[in-house]
Amino acid sequence: MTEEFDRDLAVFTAAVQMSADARAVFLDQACKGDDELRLRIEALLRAHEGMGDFLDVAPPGIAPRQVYPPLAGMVPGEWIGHYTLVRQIGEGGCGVVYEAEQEKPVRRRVALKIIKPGMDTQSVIARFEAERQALAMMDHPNIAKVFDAGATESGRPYFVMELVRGVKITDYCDQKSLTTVERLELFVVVCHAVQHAHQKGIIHRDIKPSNILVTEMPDGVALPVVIDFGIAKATTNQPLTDKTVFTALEMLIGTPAYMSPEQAALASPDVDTRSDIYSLGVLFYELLTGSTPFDTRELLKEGLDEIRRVIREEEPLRPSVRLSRQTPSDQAALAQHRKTEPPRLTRTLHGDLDWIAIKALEKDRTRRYATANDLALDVKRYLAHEPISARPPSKLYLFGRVVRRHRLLFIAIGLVVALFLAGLIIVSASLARERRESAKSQQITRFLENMLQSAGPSVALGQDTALLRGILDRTAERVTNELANQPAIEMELLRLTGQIYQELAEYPKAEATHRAALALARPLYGLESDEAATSLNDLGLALWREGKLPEAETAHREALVLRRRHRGNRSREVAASLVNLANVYRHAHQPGVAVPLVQEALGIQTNLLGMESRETADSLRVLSILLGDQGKRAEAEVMARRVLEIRRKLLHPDDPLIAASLADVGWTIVKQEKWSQGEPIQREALALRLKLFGHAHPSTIESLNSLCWNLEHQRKYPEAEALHRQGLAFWVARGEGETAPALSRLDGLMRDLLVEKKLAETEQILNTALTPSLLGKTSCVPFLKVRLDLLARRRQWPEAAVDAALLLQYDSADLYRYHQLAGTLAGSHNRPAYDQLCQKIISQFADTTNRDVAERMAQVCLLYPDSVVASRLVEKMVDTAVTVTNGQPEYAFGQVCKAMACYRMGRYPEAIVWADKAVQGPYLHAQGKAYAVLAMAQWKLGQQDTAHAMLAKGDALVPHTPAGRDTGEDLGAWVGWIFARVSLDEAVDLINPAKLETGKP
Amino acid sequence: MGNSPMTQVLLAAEPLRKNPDETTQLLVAVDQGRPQAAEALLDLVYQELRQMAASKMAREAPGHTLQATALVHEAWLRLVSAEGRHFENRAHFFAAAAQAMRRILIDHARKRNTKRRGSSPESVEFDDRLVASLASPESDEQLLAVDDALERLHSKNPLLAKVVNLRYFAGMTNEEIAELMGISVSSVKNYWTFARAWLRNEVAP
Repeated sequence: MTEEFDRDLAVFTAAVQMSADARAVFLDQACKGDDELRLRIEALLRAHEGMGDFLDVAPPGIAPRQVYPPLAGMVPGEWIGHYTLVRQIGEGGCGVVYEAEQEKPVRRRVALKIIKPGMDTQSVIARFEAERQALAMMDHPNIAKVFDAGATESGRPYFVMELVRGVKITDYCDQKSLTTVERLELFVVVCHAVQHAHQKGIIHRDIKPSNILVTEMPDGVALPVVIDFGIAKATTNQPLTDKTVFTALEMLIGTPAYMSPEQAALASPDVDTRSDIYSLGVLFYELLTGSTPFDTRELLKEGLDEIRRVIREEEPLRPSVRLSRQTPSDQAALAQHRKTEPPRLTRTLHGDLDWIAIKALEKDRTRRYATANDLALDVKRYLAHEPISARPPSKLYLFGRVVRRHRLLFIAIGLVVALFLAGLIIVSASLARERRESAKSQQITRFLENMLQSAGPSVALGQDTALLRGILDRTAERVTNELANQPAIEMELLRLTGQIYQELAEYPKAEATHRAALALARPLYGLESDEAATSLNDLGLALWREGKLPEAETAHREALVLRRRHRGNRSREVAASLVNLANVYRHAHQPGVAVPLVQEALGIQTNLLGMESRETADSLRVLSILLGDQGKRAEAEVMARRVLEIRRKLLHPDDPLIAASLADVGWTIVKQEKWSQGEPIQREALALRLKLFGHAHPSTIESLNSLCWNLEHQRKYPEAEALHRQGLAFWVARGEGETAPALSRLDGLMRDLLVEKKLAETEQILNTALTPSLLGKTSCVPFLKVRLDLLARRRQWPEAAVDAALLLQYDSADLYRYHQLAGTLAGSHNRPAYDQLCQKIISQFADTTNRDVAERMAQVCLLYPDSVVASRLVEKMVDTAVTVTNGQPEYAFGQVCKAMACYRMGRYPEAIVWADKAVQGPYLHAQGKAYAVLAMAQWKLGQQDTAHAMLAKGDALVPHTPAGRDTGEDLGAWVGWIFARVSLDEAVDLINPAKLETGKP
Repeated sequence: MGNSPMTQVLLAAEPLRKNPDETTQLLVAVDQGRPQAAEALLDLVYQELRQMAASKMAREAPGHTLQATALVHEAWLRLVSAEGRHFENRAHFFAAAAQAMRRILIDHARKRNTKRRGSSPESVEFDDRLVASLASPESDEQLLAVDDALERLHSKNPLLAKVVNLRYFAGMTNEEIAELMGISVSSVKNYWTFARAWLRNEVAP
């Protein structure tokens, strides 16, 4: 039996792989004299031919995996979802594109793109769904619409798009031999399309010639259309996993030539609109020169890492140079395709067009064109023979790039670093030579220390301490490696390095270095030596900064004991340790322990140095803060003023410590709520810090924050506004308008303007600030909220809907966002988007058991009659809204939902009962809506007079103009208004259609 | 390696948490050809997969489907100790897991069929969402028919049935199956092509 079976297997396996002719001959041979065998094999072969997807689709309950049908398996005539495949029209790295016919709801031809295997279908579709609302808002003649996404029966994701019958933009240009000017004009159109998408918060992520198709209009005008918006994001923007890297790699294999450096970095998750600008730059380059900036096909031979390196590091040749390096025959061909001659073409590209390309292709995205519009504008300027904004890079900038690329440490380093290096060299050399002359070595070390402290690296370098850190790290390493047999010198250098780490706020490194110094000091000078005390003190300071308070306390206590022994109870060192210890207790919130310590230190210091010394002033400052912490604010102020007075006598008027003292005094005054008295001092502190550190320093920002806070307390909004504006302008000019400090200025400015009721100005500021790239980040949410209210208040519903859709995407946890979106969609009569929203709500919230959630979501779904969602599910939510009370009284909005649901289902008397309840409630808009239901239900019951009366009441309560429209009070009131108004309009529609035209929202 | 009282308490509290060493010992026994060991292994893997599937389905929306391959791999990691994960053990384990997956799916298809014919929809158990998952009656009927035919195929040539189990029920690729069974990819393809045609004829009226 089994032998027979195994023979079947052998014969079938051989036969199935043969062509029909060969098979017949073979079967004659193999089955000679065994007709049954022949019958069995032929039956199997027939079964094989008619197999379809038998066993190739996963069993029920199981998600399909690798068992995809081969690509060739998709044949014209086959159905996918609502679509019939007509023919294959393209094949790319990402999948296969078919022309398909849609039957429902409209009959039309579409493009259907089936993503190739290897992607997690559910997350691809989920990501697409997340962006669907935003995609629906895109409406531009040069952008192909994406209609739908879904999964094939075998589980592969697919996308349905507007069908564009066109050719790749680069092919089109060459086929038509478009001149450079004509090419540029086409390019400008593409830029505008991309800009439109960016303004809706959508990034393409995969701009390349094959995604820009050109069709010719009947009048011969070329119409470029950008396709695949929203698809790259759905198929690539995965959380960082192995799979992401895999997909990113796939993209690299597909079309790495158009990939921006930040995309090529693979690890960077924050791809933004500027990535698209880069890809547009590559397209620009290719339209001009016929090749992409880097020959990725050539590079692919070197491997993917090489491509990634080149995209991220190498500077592309300027287009004109690139052209001149082509072979003469290639040059001739290129020129001919552009209706010109090689030398003229090179001359055309040279200069402005070179710089536009270079600017769009900057590695550093902050240096690229900020928007696609800016890029288009520069091209248009070129076309109009006006000066362009892109400039040839300066010598200094080019030099800087060389430095960056070769990581040469010694170029462009600040004075302090140079001195520091020189000092280190001197110290180590002289210490090595004159090992025994420790006095001298100490002298040199002290010199170095003084130099560093006087210049203060954090002050002199300000923004760029990275270089210094690098040198320090290397020094620390070298010290331990090279000075291993000279522990005394090693300890000195470690101590110095540790102190600089401390200065640079690198506290863990400072701690490690000081621990190493301590470990050397103890065997060298004795476990309880004065040197050990110094190291313990340094260590204690680092630990304190790290917040390791118990450890810091131990170190300082130990140092204090040793110093008392070696230096005497009334020494400067003991005083310093006392103050350091007090600081630890201050941070441990034990002012009671800290104050006596500082007082003891002050006693020693006044005795030794007099009242007016730097050290006394430092201690007084700590005391002042401690007093403030204890709520003794008046005393704290006196003390802070005393510190300021001493420092003014001793220090240069522009010393940072004076600025700090001014800030302290201002703070102690303001804490007593003597706002106006604190203001001039805070202003002085801010001015000095601005002069010393510039805008970006944390101290300056702190001063600015506290001054603005004060001004707002005094209701001096215009002045606070001016300060916020000034600060914001600084960050914007630096190209850092979207950083946290800039956004905090913007936030302050927006609030001040709102308090001042400068609504138009607020909107204007927000329009400038909410750039496409900011709209791509969640930090836009607070600003978006305000702009949405402003737009809605002015009934600019379609614009408001865009913001509301974005806001829902970022902030879907806040259920109010659903109301806002529904309201704006109602305002703009966007029924398809509203229906989609309802479906989304039902899929997410139909089963909710939370009363408030149910009530809110039911309100949205009941807004319009004949809603697309099943009324059974809506009623379920409505019932949750009125039955789950959790002991609280019934809520008017829940009641009005119930009333509306009853009305919609024809249960008019019941609707009236519920609406009557809601009318009793305290909520204006619930009442308005309830009157609408009452009017409609009474009308349906034939009570026409009552219906008219109810409608009139509702109209009176909820007038046709939204609340707060002219006063600016309660910006958010529009949502309730439009919800009520939509229902009232429905009632008007039913009862009094003639009045309808008078005023719909 | 006797169980401490503490472990016994834990095991009693969590009856489905298997001891990975136990599975490994079972796999060794299967490898040595001990009778009953294969049956015991299948039981163990079946219980675990069922438990895992139920907890996964409970977390997902109705209509969600399972990733068979992921499930089987997860079971491998959960049930077999690190030291026990040898190649030969892997082959035994995955064969058992594929068989167990098949049993689970068949059980559910049977349940669904019974429910369709018999009782009211309310009787769908809340914790058993696989039963409630979307599956057409036709696909369930077909699945049960395939299962019967597969039993007959097994009696004729166990190797072929194994390939079908691994591919259809555990969602493995030809390459993975070849590696696991120690045969060439083209053999797997040939077995699969034949088995599919054979089953098709058996299932089709």
